[in-house]
Amino acid sequence: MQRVLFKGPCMEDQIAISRLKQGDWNSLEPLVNRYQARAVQAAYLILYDRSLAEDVAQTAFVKVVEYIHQYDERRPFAPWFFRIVINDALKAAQKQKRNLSLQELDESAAHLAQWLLDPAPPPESALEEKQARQHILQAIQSLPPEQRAVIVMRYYLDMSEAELSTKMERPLSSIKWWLRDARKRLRSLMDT
Amino acid sequence: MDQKNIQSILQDALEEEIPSSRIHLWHAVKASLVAGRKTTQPGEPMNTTNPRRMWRVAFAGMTALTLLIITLTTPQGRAFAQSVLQFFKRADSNVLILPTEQIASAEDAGSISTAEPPAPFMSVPEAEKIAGFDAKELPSLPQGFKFAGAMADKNGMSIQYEAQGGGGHLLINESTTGFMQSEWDQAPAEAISQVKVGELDAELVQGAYVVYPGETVGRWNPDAAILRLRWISDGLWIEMAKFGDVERIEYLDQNVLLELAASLTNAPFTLAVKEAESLAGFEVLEPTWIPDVLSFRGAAFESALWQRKQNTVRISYSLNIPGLESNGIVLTQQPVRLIEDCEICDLVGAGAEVENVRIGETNGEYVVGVWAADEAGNWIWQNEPYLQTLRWRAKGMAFEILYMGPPEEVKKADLVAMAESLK
Repeated sequence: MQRVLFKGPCMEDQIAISRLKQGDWNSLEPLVNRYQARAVQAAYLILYDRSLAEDVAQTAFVKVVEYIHQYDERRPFAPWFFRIVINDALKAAQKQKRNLSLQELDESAAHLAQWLLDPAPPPESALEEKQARQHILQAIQSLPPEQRAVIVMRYYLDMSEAELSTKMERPLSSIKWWLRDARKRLRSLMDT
Repeated sequence: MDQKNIQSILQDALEEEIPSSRIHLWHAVKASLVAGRKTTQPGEPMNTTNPRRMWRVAFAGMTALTLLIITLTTPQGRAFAQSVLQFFKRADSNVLILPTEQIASAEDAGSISTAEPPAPFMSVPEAEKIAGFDAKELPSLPQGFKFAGAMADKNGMSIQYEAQGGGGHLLINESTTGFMQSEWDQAPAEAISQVKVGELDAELVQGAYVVYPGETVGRWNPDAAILRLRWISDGLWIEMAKFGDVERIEYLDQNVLLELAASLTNAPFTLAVKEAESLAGFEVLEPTWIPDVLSFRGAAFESALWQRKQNTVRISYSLNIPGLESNGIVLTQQPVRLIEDCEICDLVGAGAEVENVRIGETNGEYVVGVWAADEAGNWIWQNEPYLQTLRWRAKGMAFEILYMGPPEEVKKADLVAMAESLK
């Protein structure tokens, strides 16, 4: 399983970026290989459209080259890059306008959303586990795109709330409210 | 379930949906870079193109050419061209055919309304929390108006002012998702003016559809006292609307509305303390000590004429932590002539743990948490550690220090020390 390290600069990233700044575009390849899966999957969690998610991720890598001169090498690459991915995914989502209402979720999705949020025994069989994963994706799909983005960054990309505040250019209080609201919404599925 | 478990479940779910092993973007990315290389000069951002984008550009180019031809040759085309960058939906005619259910309600005007009750008014900061964005606000009260309150949902918020003595309103509606585009919100093309709010394109409409007695259609009345202005700024879809034309707010014409619109700001604390003091008419105290993590942002005056029951001054201090500058402390001061008029002496929720503290020789109260609306719109006190409040009264004044930010950065003792240093 790939992990994205946000806590400090990654040496391999820094070498690739230095070369990129010198005009060596091939040095983008290790960055693409390292982050492509996470970028597509993160965009997918916001868009729920694989083709669009790949498009967003691909464009984000191109933007890395376009704006590399604005990147501060003293900071880790991943948060900067995923900000591009999330922003572009949000813009695509606004065009897509694909928000499902809570009512569109079935009861099992509701149950598993609660399972996601509260401590509970894990599913016992592999089949149950697979169903659980699918339902969790459905539950997240029910949220508005901005809240999906917050969930993606907090729970999938492992960003802190303070980092979210910076990335989303919103006060930390707003992030807290969004996370709380997102959790509430997921929890409210229990009652549907 | 902890953070790591949720992360692990999401990763597993996504791996099933889109396996990492099947994601290979490098060739497409490289093709995009190569396509953009020819136009790039050293030191300049590249004019990058990716294959999908090229397709879209080609398609868009063909479409644009086709549209241009249509535009030049047909009345429909000319109309379409004018609709680019439209903030108001164009009505087909000056007569609005009403849906059956609206005809009934128009004829029954004056009878019992079946509409949903309006959402409760709240303060702008409360509305911002619900809407999830920082609203743009007027830096000062428009003459002749008083602040009525704000309303919000997850998509946007409305800041509302009412003409003093009634007979008119000024609304500032802000949204992250778009404008209202109902039948009643549209306007005939000839009623829509292209204007500028500062440097931004905007559209202005004077008039409204009116259903006259005995009629079953709405007729456009260009003289109706409704003025609406729409534009987009910093990702917010903003509408300012003035309703009514009583003498007190008659001055607010199209030009004044544009000036007001251009003055909207995210930073309402634009005054020096002395300026706020001069407007308020009472001595404003300032702390001689503040926590190191804070710095002075500015002061604001809120008038008893329009926004508060008493003239009020608020001084803002922002956190010096990158990314958290919008957090910090707001020190509020208000004369307490009648306790019922004190707006910073309110009760907190039943679940709140109010702690009595000493501020020099004075008793004060300290509480952690905030009122928040639940899904059903009920107000519930939440013990949110991100908000700390210290309140006290002294020498005919009420004081409040509200800290919003990470609790580890500013603690209760800091708030008390700041309060004790006021001079």
